Amino acid sequence: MRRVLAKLMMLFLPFGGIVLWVNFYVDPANLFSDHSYTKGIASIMIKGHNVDNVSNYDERLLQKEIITGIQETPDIVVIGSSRVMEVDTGLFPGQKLRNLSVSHGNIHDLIAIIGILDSMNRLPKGMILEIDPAMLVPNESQEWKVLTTFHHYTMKNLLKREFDYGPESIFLDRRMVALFSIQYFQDAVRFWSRGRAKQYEDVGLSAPLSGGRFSNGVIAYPEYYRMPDTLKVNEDAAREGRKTRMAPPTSGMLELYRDLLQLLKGKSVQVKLVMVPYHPAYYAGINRNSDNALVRAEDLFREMAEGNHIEILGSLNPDKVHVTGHDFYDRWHCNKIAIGRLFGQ
Amino acid sequence: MLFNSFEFAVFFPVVTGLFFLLPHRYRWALLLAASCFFYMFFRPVYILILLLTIVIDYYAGIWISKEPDKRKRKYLLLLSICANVGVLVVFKYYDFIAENLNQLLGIVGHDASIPFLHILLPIGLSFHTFQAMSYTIEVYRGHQAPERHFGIYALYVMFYPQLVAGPIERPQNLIHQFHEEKKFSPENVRSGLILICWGLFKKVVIADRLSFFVDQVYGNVTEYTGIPLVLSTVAFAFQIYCDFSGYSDIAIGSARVMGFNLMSNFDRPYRSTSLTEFWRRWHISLSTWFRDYVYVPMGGKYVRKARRYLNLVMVFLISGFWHGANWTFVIWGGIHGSIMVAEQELRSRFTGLLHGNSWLLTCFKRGLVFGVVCMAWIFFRAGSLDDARYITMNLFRGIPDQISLILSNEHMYRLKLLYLQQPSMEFLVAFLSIMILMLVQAAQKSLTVDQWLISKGVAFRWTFYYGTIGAILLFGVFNKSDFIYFQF
Repeated sequence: MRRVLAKLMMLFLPFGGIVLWVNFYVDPANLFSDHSYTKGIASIMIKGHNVDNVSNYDERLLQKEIITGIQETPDIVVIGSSRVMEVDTGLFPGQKLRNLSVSHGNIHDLIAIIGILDSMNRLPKGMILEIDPAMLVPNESQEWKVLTTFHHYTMKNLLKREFDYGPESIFLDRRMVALFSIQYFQDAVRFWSRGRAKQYEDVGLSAPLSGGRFSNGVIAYPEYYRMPDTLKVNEDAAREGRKTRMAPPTSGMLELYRDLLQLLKGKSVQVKLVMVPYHPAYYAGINRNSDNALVRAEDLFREMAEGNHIEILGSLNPDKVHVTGHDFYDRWHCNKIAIGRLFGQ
Repeated sequence: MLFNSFEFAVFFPVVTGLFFLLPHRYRWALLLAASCFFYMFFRPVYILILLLTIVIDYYAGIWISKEPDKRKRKYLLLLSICANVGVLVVFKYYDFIAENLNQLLGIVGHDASIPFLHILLPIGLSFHTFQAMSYTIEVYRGHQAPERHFGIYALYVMFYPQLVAGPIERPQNLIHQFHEEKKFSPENVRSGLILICWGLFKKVVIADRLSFFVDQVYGNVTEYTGIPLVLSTVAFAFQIYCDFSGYSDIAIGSARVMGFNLMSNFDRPYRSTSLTEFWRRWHISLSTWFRDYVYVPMGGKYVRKARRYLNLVMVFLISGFWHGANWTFVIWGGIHGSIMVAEQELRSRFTGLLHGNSWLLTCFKRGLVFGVVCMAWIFFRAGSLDDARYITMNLFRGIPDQISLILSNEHMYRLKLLYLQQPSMEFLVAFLSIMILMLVQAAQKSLTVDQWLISKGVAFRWTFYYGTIGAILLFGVFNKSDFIYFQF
């Protein structure tokens, strides 16, 4: 058996070593470098300039850097997942908007970002919060943990709630996942072989064209993403819808969300909730598989909003807000025109 | 749990390690628990369906062996078959039957409508029900003693390497292996790991890459004519072969590492020189299942010619229906059945036709069989009958013009007509990996890939190992795509 193990090590260890080495040293997403990259992007945005070619940064740390760096409190802040990243100033004429949404954002991201805003005295007058069953799944995404300090601040000081942060698990750390990831390895090899620069670009007031952020935090998608093949998107949405299941939020998660709303109300922040629709084929598939989970979730959200006298915009159901399959970049994300419809435009 | 997932990369060595650490008497329990865990990764509640059929077939096997009355034995066998087929009908075919009955009722002017169930198909249902049925049939025929150890019987149905997509094993080949004490064997480990690596190469480097090209065209068929339709159909032929034979290789390899021998499922089918040979090389465990349990009981070759041909077509229609509850699959089966009949008839009338072993003739016959198989794949892959009809009508339309457009060096035309809207690099990797597959298959001759590789020198072997693993790491598509045959 020892000989077999030795041979297996001879076979697999070199590959393991190469993967680790390439992932760590080429590191196309700057996961293993210090935070100077994220700070650099933040400094451009704080200056009021747009920034392009910024695929490699930690979005949560970026929000922290921005809130820490801005000199003025915005009038309106948008917090949610990538589904609301295109909520823009044009929807709120005359008001200063800052979009602080993060990819895979969930309720813990909301809590942490509100914690940063409060601790820096930057709580705005108005706030648009996304609400979605995917944001209320316990222990779903752990990315918010880079903002644990601020999450803890909100939970302990503002909400007066206990929260079990669990043991520090290195397996949940996305850097650790990336270190061993074959996909990250392939990205790194591709990145390295094309000789691509990791550097972001300050494009001043021009629109970022190859994927970046506007100075107010609104995302700028690259063209290939904004102009998808809608038939392909439709097929993908239908296929994924057939196998995806979702549950309506638990009472515990809803209660946490409700407490957060109460907290903001107590701090005189006028909150509006927004629900972003799913692709029609995906929406239908999930409801079929999960006993109308999205319909039930929406009912619960409306009930909660009504109970707290908070306005709720949009719908998870695309038909209700007159959004069609043509309005989607992929099964999750609808385009700017559809987002505008949620806000009555 | 998918074989091409991180979870399996952890699960497999852990289960294999524990298997060899445990004393023999506990190993069945470990494998059964591991198989339950493996299955429940997809949808936990569906294990109850498996449990139901396992309990029915376990007792049916024991009662059949005890029952002296032949008629009662037959009833017991029928009970077991009905239970298995019943599960298949409810979970796989109910909505299809309801839809067709509703249409039929509509045609005769009846407005009653049968409700749909919209049940998600339990993964690998057709595979484990067929495997369970082969057990009771073999016990009934007296070829297999009933298994009295419930755990071992459950393991026979649920053995994780072949649980969700075969090979569909026979009790005579598998059950006794669970009773035998397996010793750690470096040869088995080597052979098993070679099969796993080669299977992964076929799945993640070839099949999953080809799916980009196939999905692009078959998802929007009416946007294409001619070359893209031909290319995507050929790509699908390789995609489905690499996907399914890759799965089978990983399944056989995973079992082999622990010392279990599963039956071979593919033997380089695209090197067949006749359709009859193709079906001896493609999905062998299913073809032999239909041969032994459907075709032979219908009379096999010992009936009149017309009846034999009818039986052959019937078996292929059923085989098509086994693959999916859609008329496209039935037509696919019908095409194969009809061409098999035509082939046999031609062979009986013109014994010397295309006879000989010259290299050119062999290539011609292989090309012909591959062409026929590809034509049939159109019905297998198309989303609907309309799509399939469109593809067959437009398969060769406009090819000369398209060739001149491709040769015009305009990237836009190449992108649409040749690369099927994918980056040229993807096209190149797909093409080269298919070439490697064909070269290896040509070199294999009558050996399996592990036997062939083991027969080579150390330097060649290790170059092959490093090359395959390197290709998987660099060019593998790791977006957790399901194996195509899981849906059956």
